[in-house]
Amino acid sequence: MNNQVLLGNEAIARGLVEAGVDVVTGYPGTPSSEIIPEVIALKKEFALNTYVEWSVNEKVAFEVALAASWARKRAAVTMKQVGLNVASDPLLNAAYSGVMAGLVLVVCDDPGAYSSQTEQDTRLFALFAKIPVFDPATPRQAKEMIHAAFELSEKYRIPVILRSSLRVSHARQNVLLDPVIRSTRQANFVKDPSHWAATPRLRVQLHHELNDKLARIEQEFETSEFNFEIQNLELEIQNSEFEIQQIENHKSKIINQKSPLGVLAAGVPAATAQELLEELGADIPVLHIGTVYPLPQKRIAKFLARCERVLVLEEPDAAIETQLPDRRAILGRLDGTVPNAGELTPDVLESILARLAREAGLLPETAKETLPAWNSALDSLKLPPRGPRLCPGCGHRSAFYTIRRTFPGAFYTSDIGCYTLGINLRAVDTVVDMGAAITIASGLYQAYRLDNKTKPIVATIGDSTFIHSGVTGLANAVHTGARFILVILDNSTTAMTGFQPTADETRLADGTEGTRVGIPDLVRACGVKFLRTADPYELDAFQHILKQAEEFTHAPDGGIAVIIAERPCVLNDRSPIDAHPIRVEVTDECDGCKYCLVAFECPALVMNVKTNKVEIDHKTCVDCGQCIDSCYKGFIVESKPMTILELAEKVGSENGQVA
Amino acid sequence: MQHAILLAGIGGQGVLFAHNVLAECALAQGFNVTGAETHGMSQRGGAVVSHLKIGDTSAPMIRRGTADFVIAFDAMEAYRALPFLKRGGTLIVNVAPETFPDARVQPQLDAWNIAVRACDADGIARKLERASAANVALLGFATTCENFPFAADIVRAAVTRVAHPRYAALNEQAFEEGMKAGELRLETRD
Repeated sequence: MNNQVLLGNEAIARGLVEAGVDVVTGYPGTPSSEIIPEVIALKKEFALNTYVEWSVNEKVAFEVALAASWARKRAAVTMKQVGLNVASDPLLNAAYSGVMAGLVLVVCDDPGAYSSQTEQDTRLFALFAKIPVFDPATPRQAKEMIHAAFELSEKYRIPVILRSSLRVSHARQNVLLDPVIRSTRQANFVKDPSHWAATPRLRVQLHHELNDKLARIEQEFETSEFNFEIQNLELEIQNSEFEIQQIENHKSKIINQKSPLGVLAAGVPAATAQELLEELGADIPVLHIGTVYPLPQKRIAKFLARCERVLVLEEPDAAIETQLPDRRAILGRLDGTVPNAGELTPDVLESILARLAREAGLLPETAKETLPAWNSALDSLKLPPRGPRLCPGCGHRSAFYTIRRTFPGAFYTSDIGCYTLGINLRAVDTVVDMGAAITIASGLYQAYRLDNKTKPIVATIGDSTFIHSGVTGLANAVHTGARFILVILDNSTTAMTGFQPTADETRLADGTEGTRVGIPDLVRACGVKFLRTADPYELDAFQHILKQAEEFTHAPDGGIAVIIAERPCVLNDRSPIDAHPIRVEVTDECDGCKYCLVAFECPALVMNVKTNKVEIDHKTCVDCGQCIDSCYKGFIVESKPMTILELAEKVGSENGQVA
Repeated sequence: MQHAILLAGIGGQGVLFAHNVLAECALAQGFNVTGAETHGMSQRGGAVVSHLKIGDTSAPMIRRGTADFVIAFDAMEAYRALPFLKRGGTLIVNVAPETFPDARVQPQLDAWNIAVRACDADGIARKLERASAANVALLGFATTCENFPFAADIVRAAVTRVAHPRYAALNEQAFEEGMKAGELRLETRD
């Protein structure tokens, strides 16, 4: 069957494989994480000779792929938008040095910052780095653009970015599959120091070459099939005076070629605008731009000349609008017509488009049907917000609970991953970027040391994040004499993004055997003199080690104390809990003080407002028994042992979904 | 055919599975599908909303006031998703029918002519001793609702294609129980 419903990221992976990609690297991050697993699935399905790796970070991923391209193998790199910050150094260099075989960088933006620190726009990054960028609106288009990106990359010897976004990567659409091409490229790295090792003297020459490439690419984009115009008038509807007038307007417009309003749009907002205009029945021409940099200026100038005013719709920022030389007739983010932050949802776009279309006389002034007063009705229900929380049984919860109990007034620097949710246990004070738990702890230590003060500081970082960017910060902290406690939360996987393997295990991305780079070895190699490994489930023992660690940070010959908190992710490996399930219940003595809800913050502990007692939600409870400690009054207790039948049922329901 | 279906629930309830099943149904009937899903951080016990649009559109998200159906796997998320329904739309919800809806939203439901079709899919799943079967039970129930775009056979076949074969028998049972609940509703309504 060659018509399949695919997730956007699966469509991108399919495009890579259809294009005969030889090497794919990346670091997981929402919304980009599903591309590499799908490449691996296709590699297996078609028995392809493709090299795929989860690299330890995005910079590494980019460089490995760049070298493959220099050795004339088609290569691709995948990451989320903030990952590009990490990979920016080699990216900007590669624009100058150029590539040999096609090198396509797939970067997924997150308008609305659903899973990210920023709403940054990778297309603006492309402008800054002087690298061409495609901006797909749908999974189908993303797959087509992968093919075009490889061709462009090889024709002009330049890296090319496919900028996906949340609503493309995590859109699901039926996509027509094309044949998979088997690569026949032979590795052939030809020495050329004038490009691959260019000295500063040669760099200006390379910059001239780059500018020349971009000028030629702009010419090519003028006629690209990814830039096309849509006319939204439906002439067959002729049942009102207004619509007849519209047709008259349209006829006169064909003569004058001047529309009162036009829309210049890219990516998902282009698709949304197109649908909204059809729905509104407004006769507004839309120029859809798929190649955002270099921008096809002539094609756009022709369109602008035919419109009185033009609304620019793009996200998450103003990459097209910024490039327009004359913005006097332009409405967009820069003049405040379009909001400067947040996702351009259909609701946001509808209010902008409908207002402008009315102003332009392209829609009747009739009052639109107003929605029921949902907000006031729903407000009256006082629905509790349902934000993300650490899972029941998560070892991070036990670690945070004990850290907070042991050092209630400490500074808690933390990092990027599931464990950012430790903020719900009030055990996370700072989150900056991958690895910053350690460097922020260093900076806080040094700031207070200037005043001859010491503050307890506990940094928490995940295993994958530590290897990604924590090691350099730790080396720096040890070298400069910083003192704090570092807890490496080791759940044996990259949990948040879908259980990708870390370098701390032997399993590689495709399931084959690699070499384990042990976290304890890395910690010791950084010069750390206090290193303990502990199971955070052993609450008292864990607390004891935390106290020892604190003593070490004060000792005359002390320094940084590192604790590796080892507990497998409960979603990934339930076996330790299933081996020793502890079923708990709340006794009738519960007085509803809510201490456990605040201090332990487990989703399986729920308040029954009618009885004013806490209850265990056995639908979500995993029988870890960790919450017993959180009722200091002793009202959370272990239930009578489970019967063999109950036990069998519990074990049988591992992995949850019927799906 | 042009249909907009919003699926709402909590991470782990199988919302994405239900989305995939309905997308498969559309494809089997020769329609195009486009939609948007929730992954990542928001899946950790957070609200999960999935947009499914059947027909020729490229825009993945559903606008408020335009969904033909909301299928909610949790009562609280059902309330939150209500503003997506169009006038005359239908809410299909996993909740004991006698406990839903709250009287405070009834005026809005009436004003906008929204049909509420409640099914205790969690109860069915409990009976089958597998909490995670509720999503399939609710899909079975949905096929009995007026104007639902897909017939039971189409959905049943799609469940079989999308689900792991290990759960085939259980899914079949859950689907039938959901349908039975729907048929009972049709017989007993006034």
